Amino acid sequence: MTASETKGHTSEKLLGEQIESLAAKISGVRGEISKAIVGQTEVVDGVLMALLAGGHVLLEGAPGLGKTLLVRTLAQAVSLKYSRIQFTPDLMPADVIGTAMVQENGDGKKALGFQPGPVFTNLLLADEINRATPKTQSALLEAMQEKQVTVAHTSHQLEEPFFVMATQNPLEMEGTYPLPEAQLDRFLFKLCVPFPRRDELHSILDRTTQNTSPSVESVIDGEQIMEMRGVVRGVPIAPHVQEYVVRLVMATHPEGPDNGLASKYIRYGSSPRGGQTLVLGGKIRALLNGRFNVSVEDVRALLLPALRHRIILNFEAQADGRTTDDLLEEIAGKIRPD
Amino acid sequence: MLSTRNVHPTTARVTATFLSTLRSGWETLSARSQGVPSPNSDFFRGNSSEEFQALRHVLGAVRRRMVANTFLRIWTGWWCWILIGLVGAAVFFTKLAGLVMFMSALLGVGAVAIYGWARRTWASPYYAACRLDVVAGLDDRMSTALCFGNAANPNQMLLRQREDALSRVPQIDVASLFPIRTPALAGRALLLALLAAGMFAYRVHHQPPMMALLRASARSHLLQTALTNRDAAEDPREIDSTPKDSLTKTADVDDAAQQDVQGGPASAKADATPAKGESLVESLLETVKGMASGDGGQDQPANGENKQQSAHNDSPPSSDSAQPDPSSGGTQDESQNKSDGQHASSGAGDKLRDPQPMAKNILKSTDPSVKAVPDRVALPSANINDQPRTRSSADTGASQMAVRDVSPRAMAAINGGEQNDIPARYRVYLQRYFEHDDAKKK
Repeated sequence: MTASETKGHTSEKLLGEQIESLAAKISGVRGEISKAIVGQTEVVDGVLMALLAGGHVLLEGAPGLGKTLLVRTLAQAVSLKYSRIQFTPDLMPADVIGTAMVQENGDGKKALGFQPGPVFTNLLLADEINRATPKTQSALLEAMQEKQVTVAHTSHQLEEPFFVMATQNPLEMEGTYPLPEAQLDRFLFKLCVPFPRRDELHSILDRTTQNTSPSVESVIDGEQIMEMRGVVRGVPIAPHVQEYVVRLVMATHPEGPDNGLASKYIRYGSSPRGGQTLVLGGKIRALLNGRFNVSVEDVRALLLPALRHRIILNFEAQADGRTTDDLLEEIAGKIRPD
Repeated sequence: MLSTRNVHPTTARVTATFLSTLRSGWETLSARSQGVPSPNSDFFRGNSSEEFQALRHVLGAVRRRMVANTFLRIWTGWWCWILIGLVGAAVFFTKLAGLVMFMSALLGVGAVAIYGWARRTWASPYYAACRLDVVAGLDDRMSTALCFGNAANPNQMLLRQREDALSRVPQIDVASLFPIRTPALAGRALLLALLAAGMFAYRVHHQPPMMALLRASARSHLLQTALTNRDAAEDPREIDSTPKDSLTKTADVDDAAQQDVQGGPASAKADATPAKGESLVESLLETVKGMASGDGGQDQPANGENKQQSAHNDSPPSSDSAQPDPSSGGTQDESQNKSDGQHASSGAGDKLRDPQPMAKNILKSTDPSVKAVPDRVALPSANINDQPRTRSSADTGASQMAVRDVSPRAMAAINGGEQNDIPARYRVYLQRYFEHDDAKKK
């Protein structure tokens, strides 16, 4: 048996073990998060899927729904470094990515050195990201896509896993700067945080108004997350499921031959990143549900979080009061998977 | 014989290669048309491992049931259309043997074509696996396992997926998931079959019902009343002559012909009878169409109109002319009946609506109230030099001086007094002019 064959067998065995343990670990992370977060199952699953896929999440919800608490709890459950940036109109790019400063070294000499910003972390919470100016918002572009920042002609790699969770408040739109399309496209999912149900609200009140506070334990670490990222990409997807993804993405483009709805209401359709998100998210969702293949249902379930922020509506849609969620549901209803 | 033995293996090999190529090309084409990659279509041919045998049997059963359901559904619809065609033919046509054979051939050809189409539609086991996933709620497990079943070196994830999928195969009950369903059109097809059987049983002893219906409607009191009222409204002088008589007489002739058909001895006479009946039906239909449209044959050509007028003027009433001549053939009867129908429908109305010939006849037949005016008027003098000449550009009311050879007038013409001096030829001309204008107005 050669060394390469031995290495292959070892990696296969390791892969089998990882597959076995992945579902259990993800289930453990879910349990730990549920100690602090009541309900919000879809949001928690979406955040975990984005974490395993190596993408970023844009959370949209009213204040007080537990967005910041979710990120903090997740950081504790996966034992990752966590930092938070409160975006304000006077926030500068150097406040996010860091800057070159004159520093005194050990022998008393002063030199220009790089002072890393809060972006150098594993879990970054960009709170109310739409309150910062576009200049500051765009400071995150390189970090989110390339996993690096460039200051003074020097590129600094970010530590993996790097995961950005940005929040924005849909209510107070005055004095905000809507995110540019280029930055929106870099978010894997856009998750809408719903208001809790009645029973969930009772649980929230019980947990937050007593002396006891939940203790969240670490279940996995960053290294295991990176291994999981490699595992989930091996989940097979059948050709007809992939064809369904392609047809969904193509149906959002107004230039398509039979896209009457898209040509009427949509100005720009989804980018190829939308299709990548559907496939990758479908693979992770299948594993989270104990399956080893992507199904049409996985794609269908991820349609809204994956594509709702990648579609730009035209004026007619806004005048008719149509939303991206409505249009996507309608488009998906017209496309049969077979 | 020796040469045949030598060539035969080669021919068989070539034929087998050709058929194999044709088959693979067909499967590739059908798989592409369904959006399925072509390698999956030969999944069950040699490369599959033993663990897929159970899935193979299940998918075979699924395919057979889907083909059966598709065939039953489409063929029942096709059968319905065939039965509708048969019933319609039995209602309208006299001879049905050829039609029945043609419809039977259509039924058979349709069955073969539908079966071939259904087999082609459900040719791919991959597509059958997709349907099985949807119906059984397997979340695309079977189709994915089938798709990656031929992978050369499957990794752990593929093996786990295959194991997960195949572990569910024994729980699949194909008969309950894909039952042979009664087609939705089965009830209608049964009703149509009963209707067709009843219609054919009726046709064994009777003529086509539509013909009988038209004959009955031709003799109906309502139609005759309607035709009579219309003619009475158009020409009161011909109320009791044309349509009613012609209809009743033609209907009598038709009755007599029918009696001949049922019990008559002469076969030639019996053969001629349906032609008469059909001509009656055609004439009736044309009459009814004329009533519905209301134009009453206004667009008849002038020659035909003259012929009609001459027929009305020179011959006895049209009822006599509408009687069929027993000595003449069926073709003559048809043409005669057609012309009679046209007379009955449009004869009187044309006379009333075209006033000019009527006016001419009146002018010819009655004495004119004014005297006839000669075409030529004698001039006072044959020599043109002797004719009096006047100035042509004289003002109104001014006296006119003769140029020569005319003695001056005694008095000046004022306020119409000059009419006394109008020359005779002008007076006659004016008289003719006004008489002509009056005649036009009349």
